[in-house]
Amino acid sequence: MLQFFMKNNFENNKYERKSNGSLIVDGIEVAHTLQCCHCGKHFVSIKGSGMIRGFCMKCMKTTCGSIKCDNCLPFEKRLDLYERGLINGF
Amino acid sequence: MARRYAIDGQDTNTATTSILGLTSATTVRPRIFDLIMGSDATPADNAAKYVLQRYTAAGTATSVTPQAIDPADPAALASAGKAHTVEPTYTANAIMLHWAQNQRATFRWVAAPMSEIVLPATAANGIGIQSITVAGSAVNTNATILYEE
Repeated sequence: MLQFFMKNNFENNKYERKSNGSLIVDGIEVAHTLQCCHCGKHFVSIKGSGMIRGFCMKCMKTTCGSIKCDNCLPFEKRLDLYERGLINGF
Repeated sequence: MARRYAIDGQDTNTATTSILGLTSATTVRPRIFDLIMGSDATPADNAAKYVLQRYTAAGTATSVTPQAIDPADPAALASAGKAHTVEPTYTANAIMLHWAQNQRATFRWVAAPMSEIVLPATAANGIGIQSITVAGSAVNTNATILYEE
């Protein structure tokens, strides 16, 4: 069963030398996650996903590829603005 | 060093049902660094898809008291709830983690240091584990979140 699960979900996952998190299923590490530097989202990087997700040259970190994360607004700054009521949502 | 706490909850994972929620406070920014999900139901091949999603109103739930990992730490400032009867108001697309899971499997996500999922220091804002779709039968699901604040 575990093999079935892994083959369907993680067979194309990519090894990340500097990952931001790990997915562990039944005690076995099956994938690494990266974190978007603009919204804080964690996602599994799969082979070829660099074509969709992006990279911020100001933060020098990965973004999730969402359109709203294309412009550089570092997550800490986003939190500050949100807490002061200057932006709506994440 | 930040104070670390654990919360846990369980609920039947019917689609669009929240299992566990962590609500921030105005004085802290809770940071989730570990999440564990599994099921204590009789083993069967049921699958479900879950998200860890931000919300701006906590809904109505059974209160969960965060337990300090270091017993010397004071009570947590953030609050938590399980088995919601009124779902939180989730922010569209604010999904911080997304995964599918077989009932037989135990799933765990661990953040690397300084890569935690951060909640804003805003009242009623938080993050919840919500079941999105269920293939097969809905079963009792157990979740644990470790966080620091």
